[in-house]
Amino acid sequence: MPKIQVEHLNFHYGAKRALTDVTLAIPERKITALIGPSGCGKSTFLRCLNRMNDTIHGTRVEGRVLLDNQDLYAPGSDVVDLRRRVGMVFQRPNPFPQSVFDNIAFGPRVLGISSRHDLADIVKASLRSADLWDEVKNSLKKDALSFSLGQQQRLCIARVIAVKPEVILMDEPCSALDPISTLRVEDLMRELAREYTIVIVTHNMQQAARASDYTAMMMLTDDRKSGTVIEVGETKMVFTRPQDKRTEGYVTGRYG
Amino acid sequence: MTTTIRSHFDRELARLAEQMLELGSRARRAVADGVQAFARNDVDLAREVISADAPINQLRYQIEEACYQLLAMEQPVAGDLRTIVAALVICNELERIGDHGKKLARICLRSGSDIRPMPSDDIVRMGEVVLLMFDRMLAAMAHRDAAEARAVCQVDDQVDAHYKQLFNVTLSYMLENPRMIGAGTYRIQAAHELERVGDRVTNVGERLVYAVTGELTDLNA
Repeated sequence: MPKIQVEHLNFHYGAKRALTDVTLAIPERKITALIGPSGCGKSTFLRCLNRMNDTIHGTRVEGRVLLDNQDLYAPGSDVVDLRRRVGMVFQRPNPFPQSVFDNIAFGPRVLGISSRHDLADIVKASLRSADLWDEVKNSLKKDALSFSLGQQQRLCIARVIAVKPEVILMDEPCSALDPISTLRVEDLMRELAREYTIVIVTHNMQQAARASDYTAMMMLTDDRKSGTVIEVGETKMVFTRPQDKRTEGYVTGRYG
Repeated sequence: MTTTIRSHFDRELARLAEQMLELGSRARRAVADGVQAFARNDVDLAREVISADAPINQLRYQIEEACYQLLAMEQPVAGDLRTIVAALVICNELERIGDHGKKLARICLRSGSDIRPMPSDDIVRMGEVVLLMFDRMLAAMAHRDAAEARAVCQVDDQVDAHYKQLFNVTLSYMLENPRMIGAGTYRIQAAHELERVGDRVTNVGERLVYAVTGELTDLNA
């Protein structure tokens, strides 16, 4: 059973349709990349997976998004718990203007954990999982914003991990990072995929090819008014033998 | 969808395709001249074929280097990737086809000025079948025609049949006339070189099919 099953999803910003009839299965504990040209709805789709679009006035969803076979959009769904289970890492690193420790401990504290000892354990474990512990263990009280962008992004990943998610959504997590930091985050993704299901939006074709197990190609619909998924498959097949000519055109850089 | 993006890469791919056809053309000439040299015992022609082999090898290495550079610089995927990796295999096969032409020329020189007691019409006929097969495959390469490539690979059965027949006829001659063993041996060697050309053309076809369709199958079975 896929971790997330999206069925005939249509999404509207007010009167404007942004996504049309998207059906997609996200496999558990794998990395699924969403690729496609700008404006085809990749980030909109990603935000549907943890209802982040609810924070935007006037949005409307049709269809179903099932997490472990439970519809996220069913009446009475616990959206706060959803966003713990399905965490998000954004394009620009966005640590809170607080210490490293307080950044990571923020989520667990909101969930009711107050013991200093327990919080310290969670902070250490999360920073280890994010491959950041060795670099910050002696600077836990230091302002998170004083670290490099690459470190800040890994700190944001640790912050997500601290509340024990099941899915991690990543919206172009490396676009603000240098190449070495990018590769470190990709290595980290591979480690994290042992425990978490990861969905990543990326404009970097080589990153999608390097770092993902499955790739979903999104494209504007024929009327060019909204986005949809036109092909999905194992990444190695999408990048050697795509089925759809539009996918071939996009991954070979000839789509314009 | 626009075709002006990656125009530099497209020009490089077009140049690669041209170089492949040039290599194919030279290899074809080596085989054709090698057959004629053997059939007519033309030692001058044989020496020309042998000297033309070094430039064939050089072109093969140029193509190979170009492929490596395209892989590194352009990070190709999908059809572009398949085209380039197929070119790496195909250029090797084409260069080996040229080698078979050179070997035909060497057989001519080894056989010396002995008057052949055996006719070479069947070698020439076998050569014609192989060269027609090769011509069709080069055309399939030029047009990226996978269907034609598959069809040409079927002709290899005829080449194999020619070889078997020629082998058996030659063997009979040698058994009846032991003085013909020398000449008969050269005939069988020459036929074997042509039979290998047929196999290599089929290998080219397999990779062409892969480049165009993504299917990797044995068309030599």
